[in-house]
Amino acid sequence: MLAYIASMLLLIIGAYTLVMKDNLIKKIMGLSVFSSGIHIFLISLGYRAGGIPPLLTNLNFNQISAIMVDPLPQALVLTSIVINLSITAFAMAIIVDVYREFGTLNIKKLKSLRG
Amino acid sequence: MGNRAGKAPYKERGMMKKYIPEKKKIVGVLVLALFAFVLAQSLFFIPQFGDLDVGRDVSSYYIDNSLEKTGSANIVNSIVWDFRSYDTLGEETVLFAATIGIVLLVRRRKI
Amino acid sequence: MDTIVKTTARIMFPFILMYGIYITLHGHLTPGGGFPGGVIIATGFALLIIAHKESRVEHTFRQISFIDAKSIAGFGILLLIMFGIFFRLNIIQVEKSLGILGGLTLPSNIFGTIMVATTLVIIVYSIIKE
Repeated sequence: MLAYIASMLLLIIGAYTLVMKDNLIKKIMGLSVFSSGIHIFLISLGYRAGGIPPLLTNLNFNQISAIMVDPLPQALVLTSIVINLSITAFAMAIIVDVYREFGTLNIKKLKSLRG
Repeated sequence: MGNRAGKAPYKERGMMKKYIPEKKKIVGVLVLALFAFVLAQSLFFIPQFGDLDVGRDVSSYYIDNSLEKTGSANIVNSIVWDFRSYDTLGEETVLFAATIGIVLLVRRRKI
Repeated sequence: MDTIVKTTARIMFPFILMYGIYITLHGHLTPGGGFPGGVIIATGFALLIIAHKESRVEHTFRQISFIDAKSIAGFGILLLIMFGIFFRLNIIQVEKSLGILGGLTLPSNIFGTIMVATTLVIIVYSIIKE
């Protein structure tokens, strides 16, 4: 139960930073924290009490399907982490271009500029 | 170059010293509090932390047939690169598109 | 940057590279695989990029082309997937005693590592040095 509470705390912190802060870079950081909360929630859905990691060794060759944790959410979260990295890098490149063009990174000042 | 003037309309006059939040921030905080309340309510509907009764059929197939069909002892690795390799191919395409976009965006303009 | 940072980056670079290659090549036996190995190799290169001044980094990058390596690795992954679909039942031989060679997973890990490492090096170089 502690893992679910931790993931919801991360979701709340990420949503707060994404909506209420004025700087553009802080908003992108909030998006990354939000994605981390979602990843932790997905992985902790597949936990089994008293389970072992999904690796085949010499010790556990028979009756392994009953005590291993679920390997499927881990494989999906791997893909999601890489895509989140691509989104953050692309957003940072756009922010560099915006700063070079307008000279400011504040949302309230960018709204009133007519380029 | 901190531009203090223009942050909020009532601060330019220098008369108000207390911090009175604007109307949009109050609405934003209320919406976030509602979001947090809905999230906390959903804690009662999640099954227990230890037991697992969804997705057992799919994962059982992957665990039982991982060594015969793919030849790797790491089950997560065999899922990512063998059983579900189309997802990995799509993810490499996303990486490609992001790289090309970044290289084109940060070029120095010669004006 | 300083001389201390430059010398430390030059000393640490082969060890970081060796660690990344180790995680990649044992991807079918231990946790890890293609993606963490690629990230560690990119960390080694990023350390060199940040520590040196811009003229020297630009001189080195003109000789190596990273986008070409990325395209070759992507093409390799596409070929491997098509190969695996058509010849799945006949060619793959499995060693029952958890041996070193592991089917088609090992070349896929190597290609995936090259793709991720080149992507991260290109991103770090473009954003920091421009």
